[in-house]
Amino acid sequence: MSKTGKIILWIVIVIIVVGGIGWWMASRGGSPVAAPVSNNNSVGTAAVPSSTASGSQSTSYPQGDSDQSINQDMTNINTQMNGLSSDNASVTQSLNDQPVQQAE
Amino acid sequence: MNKKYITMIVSAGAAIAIVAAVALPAFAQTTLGVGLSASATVSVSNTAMRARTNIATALAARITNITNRADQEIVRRVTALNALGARLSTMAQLSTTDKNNLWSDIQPQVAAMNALRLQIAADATANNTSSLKIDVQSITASYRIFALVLPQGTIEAAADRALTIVGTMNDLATKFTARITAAQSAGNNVAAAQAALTNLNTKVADANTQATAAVAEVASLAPDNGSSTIMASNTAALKDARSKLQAAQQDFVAARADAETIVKVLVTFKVSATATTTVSASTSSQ
Repeated sequence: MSKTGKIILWIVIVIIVVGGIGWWMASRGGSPVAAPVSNNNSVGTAAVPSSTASGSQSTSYPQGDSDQSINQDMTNINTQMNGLSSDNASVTQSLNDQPVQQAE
Repeated sequence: MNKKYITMIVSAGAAIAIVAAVALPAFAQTTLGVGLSASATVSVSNTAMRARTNIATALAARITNITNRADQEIVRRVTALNALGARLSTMAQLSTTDKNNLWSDIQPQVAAMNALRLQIAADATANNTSSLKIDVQSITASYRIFALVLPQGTIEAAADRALTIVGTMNDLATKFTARITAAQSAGNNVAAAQAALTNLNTKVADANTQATAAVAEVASLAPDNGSSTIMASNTAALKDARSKLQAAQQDFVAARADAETIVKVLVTFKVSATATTTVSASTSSQ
């Protein structure tokens, strides 16, 4: 193999290795730009961000203030409010309760 | 001669006619009377049997009806009280004293209803109508206790859930406060978010007041023991507590809307941070 051929081969190998490392980091969500965008979109929709992304956010704000934490609170509140609505309906039902009339 | 024969024949015919007119109805009546007597005896006998059978059938049907109605009411009450007992075990905010008091109201009622159900079944089996009547009357008499315990328990359960929501909303408000402060430090206009947060805190505080007052209002209610005055005051207290819980629910709806507003504002800050230099804005808020 000629000297030029060897150089080209090395260049190809380096490109493959660097590209592989880059792809691996991207697949792990390690991109410093992508994570905040992902979390921005998740706040209002109660979607659960990826663990790496939320970890990145939890370092942005005081402990427990991550988007994931807020989304979880909002979800819990929705669930509990549905439960309260049901509870209040039960209260009204119990106040309007009528016994089965007993025969004499 | 002719005249004489004619007179004799006419007289004989008249005599026969008179005899026939008197005697035949008598025979007829005799025959008819015998027939009536025989059928009346059979008829009275059948009627008595049918009457006895009808009475027995009607009594059995009535006992079945009474037992079924009693069973329906007992099962209905036991089911409702058991559901309330199960709900009681999941209550997180109510004091142990309140939960114990409620349980001490629920448990004896369930036990009494189950015992009564067995007693009524035994009465029905034994055709003991006098005992059955007394037992069934006790269902109606005990209804006032049930009519207090059930709404009392459901109100406390609803209040417990409302207080849980208060806790979660307070946690959320703390997180929002941190976010808003950070955004403000980064130079963002947080006026809308801050206004929404203030309103959220006001609504949550009011919901807390309403739920706490609802529990206090019903926790000490006691059965009226037949007093219509106490029954009226109990009913008024239960309805007022329900109004408080409904007010708390409306507070939560408003607070939830405020939370949505805050989230939308915060998202706007973060989007602009990403779009411009502002990775540093995001960083500075860290």
